[in-house]
Amino acid sequence: MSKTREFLDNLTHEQLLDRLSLALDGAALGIWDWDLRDDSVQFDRRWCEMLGLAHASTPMVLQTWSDRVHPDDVDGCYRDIQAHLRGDAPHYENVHRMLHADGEWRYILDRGRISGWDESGKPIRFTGTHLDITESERARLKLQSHQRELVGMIEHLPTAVALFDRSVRYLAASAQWLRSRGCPPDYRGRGFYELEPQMHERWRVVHRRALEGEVLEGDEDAVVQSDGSSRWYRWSVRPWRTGDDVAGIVIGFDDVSPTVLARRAREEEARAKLAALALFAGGVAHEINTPLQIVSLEAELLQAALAELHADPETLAALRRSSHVIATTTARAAAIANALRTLARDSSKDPEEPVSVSALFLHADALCRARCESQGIALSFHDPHRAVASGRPAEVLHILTNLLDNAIQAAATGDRWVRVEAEAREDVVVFRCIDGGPGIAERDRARLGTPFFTTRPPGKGNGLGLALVRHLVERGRGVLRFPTERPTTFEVELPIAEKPIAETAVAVGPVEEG
Amino acid sequence: MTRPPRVLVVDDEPLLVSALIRTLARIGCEGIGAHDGLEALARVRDEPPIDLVLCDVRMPNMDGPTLLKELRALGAAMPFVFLTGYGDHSDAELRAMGAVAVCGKPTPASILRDVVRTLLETAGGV
Repeated sequence: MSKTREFLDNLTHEQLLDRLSLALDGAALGIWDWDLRDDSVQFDRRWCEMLGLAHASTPMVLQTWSDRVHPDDVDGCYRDIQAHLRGDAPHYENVHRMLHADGEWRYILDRGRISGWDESGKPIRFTGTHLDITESERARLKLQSHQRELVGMIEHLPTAVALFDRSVRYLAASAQWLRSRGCPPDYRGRGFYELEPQMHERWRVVHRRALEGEVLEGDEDAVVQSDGSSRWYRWSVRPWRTGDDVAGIVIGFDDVSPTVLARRAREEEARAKLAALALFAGGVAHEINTPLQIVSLEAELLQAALAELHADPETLAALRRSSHVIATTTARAAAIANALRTLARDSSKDPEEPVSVSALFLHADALCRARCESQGIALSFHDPHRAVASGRPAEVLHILTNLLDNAIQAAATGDRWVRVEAEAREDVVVFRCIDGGPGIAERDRARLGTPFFTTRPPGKGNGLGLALVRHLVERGRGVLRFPTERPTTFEVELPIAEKPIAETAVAVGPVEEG
Repeated sequence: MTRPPRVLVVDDEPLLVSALIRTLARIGCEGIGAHDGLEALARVRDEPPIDLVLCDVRMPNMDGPTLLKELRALGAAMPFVFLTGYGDHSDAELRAMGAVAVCGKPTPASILRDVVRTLLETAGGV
């Protein structure tokens, strides 16, 4: 016999009750003792206090309890009681809500068992305890509803997302994911690769890297479908963590094909429009080239003839001024026609050839000079190294005129100057187009060169200029650098020509005389 | 050399042929006009020697590139210069056909004269 048992056995009845009371207080248990014969119930003080009732005035009848049980819960209570009385359950246990005197519902854990029988073996006494579990029950319910909300949110996300553990087994997935990957209903806990054994090794590598803590993403990855068509996906694979440890990966993807296809169609349309416009401009330039050549030669012959003409000084001066204006204006018109002709050429199939920067600058000057002068913008070109780049002349001119177009527009709203420089380095020719404009807003910089991005008012720009420049620069094995601070400087690096232009086999453009 | 250098000027625009002949005359060249490739070919056959050909690209009857090919087939090796207003061929393509120089229309008189003079000197014809 243990010491404790010996000690308890030696206590008086009152002493034992006192000890029991202390124990029940500590466990916060209320006691009920139900006489099944007349439905009287002895509730103890703690049972009453748990419901805000005064022990002295509480009727000791079953109705005291049943009146306070939540109507939705009372049937369950009787069911569980019957189960025990029938002998189907070793004891009675039920959680139900009871109305506290303060008007609030309390969650009560109710447990009990038969504690007395009559001579025929029929139960006559049922004894048990009440425990107020409101706080833990509320916490449990809250957790349960949070979980439901989270699961609901994941399931209904308007995108395909799935959560995996460290072994790339499914934990959760959105409905869109399940649909698009054809997951079976029992996907939870099953391996991603088990369900999709055909998965490319490249993705397994991506998953491994994410498990090592890396975030991997793709903006627009083309995936060839089984029917040969392409679809484009935006995706991300990233680790998720518990504390500092990677607990698994989250994979998400979106089919961005409609956006990509729509953008491509718009780009294609714009390119076609641009090409048609260039073709038209080029056609006009072709038609006026021959007349211009005639005027240009005749003006020069006229000047020569005038040099030998003897007439009165005033008449002579007037004739000379006129012939000079004809000659210089023709040269200007010729330069414009020539630049248009170069621009209009579909140069994509042309071979790369040496491009003289000085000739290029003359073309660009011819196209932009009048516009600058009318707006009071000082336009200057600097080619100290007499650089010769390698490229397709029409494309290089296109690049330069597009950058100039932007620069002039900017300079018109700031300091009115535009400066174009060329610098020959070891392997490259660096062009810089610098303007005195107000600079480019930080938020706009990231989107520079994105097709259809423009800061100009409607009708003033289609947002294609810089995108086209980037396209041409990249096709010409060059690099385009965007400005980071003022003055706004766009930099284009093109390969340098390997051999200088041969002396005699020179392609002569319209160069202003003198 | 006693005779002036002879330059065959080929263009379907008579006003331009005329202006070119007078422009070249100022550096002592004798200009001979033709209005298409066929006529030019006849001039080379009937009125030799021709020291240089200055020729349009697009012309009726026979275009510039065909004329150049025919001339070379005949063994005529004089310098051949294209004066072109069209963008059908790149300058590089035209040079690859055998032209020594390609001038875009319009090219100022002074430069045309420089090109012609340089080529005639290089060819040792003057």
